[in-house]
Amino acid sequence: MTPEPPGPLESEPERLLDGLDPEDLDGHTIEELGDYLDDGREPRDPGIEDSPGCQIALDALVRLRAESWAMLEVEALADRDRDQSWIQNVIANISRESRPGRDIPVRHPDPATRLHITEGAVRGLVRAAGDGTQGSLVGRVELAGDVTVPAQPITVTVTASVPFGPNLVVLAQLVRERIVEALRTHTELNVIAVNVAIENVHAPGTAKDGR
Amino acid sequence: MTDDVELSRRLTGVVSDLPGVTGVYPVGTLVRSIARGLVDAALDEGAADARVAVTRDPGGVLSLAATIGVEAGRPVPEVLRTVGDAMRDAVASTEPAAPPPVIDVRASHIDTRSAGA
Repeated sequence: MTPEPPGPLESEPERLLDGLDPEDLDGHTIEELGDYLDDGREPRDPGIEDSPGCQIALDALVRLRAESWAMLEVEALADRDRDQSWIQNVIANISRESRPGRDIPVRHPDPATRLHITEGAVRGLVRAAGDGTQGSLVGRVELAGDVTVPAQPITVTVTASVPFGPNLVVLAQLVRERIVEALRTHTELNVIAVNVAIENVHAPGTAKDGR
Repeated sequence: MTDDVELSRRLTGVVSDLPGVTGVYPVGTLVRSIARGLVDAALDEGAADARVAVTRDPGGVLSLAATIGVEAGRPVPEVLRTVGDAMRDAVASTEPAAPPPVIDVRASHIDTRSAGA
């Protein structure tokens, strides 16, 4: 008897997503990156390891797997359609946000020395700051405003899934504070607001218990 | 041209050894070419460690571009400024008579795995 192919929830989370443009990740799909993680990043693939976009995406996928996938998988058993859709969006966002995007300037006293941080690197930083905050998982990161011009007002908007239980206002504030601190440390952006929108609530404590 | 490859290789080594730098990435187009298997020469060992883009305008002014990864344990602006200054110092010591170079440094990845963001 031929075993049935695994359903979407038995496979790796990134397999839920199809149709992404490989150009998003320097010629690699997010599914390829998932396979690469499965293989322990061996043999070393220079096309992946030498791509900043792939590195940002791999960081996010590792956190998704280590901290949140089991949690969301368990939750999805109760509301499969809703959570699959949410996870698909997270993975699509990881792929999209890992692209370099705009160049964000950093000051230098010599005008012949031009310094930048890519928007993709900053989105990855924001995602890392929010992921795992008392079981939270960042869904989407947006930087609104002209980040290419110094001192322009920038608004950061983050969506998140959080565990059921903690006070949502307090938890959202904690996520916000971590993001503000990361941006203050690593960028010179004039961030006038960080908005955290909680758009999904999942079962608490299952991330570690589920594996 | 060979001299510029050698300069790129030297600058790549200088930048890679700076505190807070996790790596120097090839320029984006090169990465895509490697991924597609279209540029075999890109994988030649001779060019693999020459990752800082080096170009010269007709007047002999150097333009240098480096794309780096930065560890989250150090502020990215601080690391970027250190890299820019180190590249300028390295060129000054290599080509003391040359006009000042134009330097472009881009942080494309912030490594949060080994330190808190």
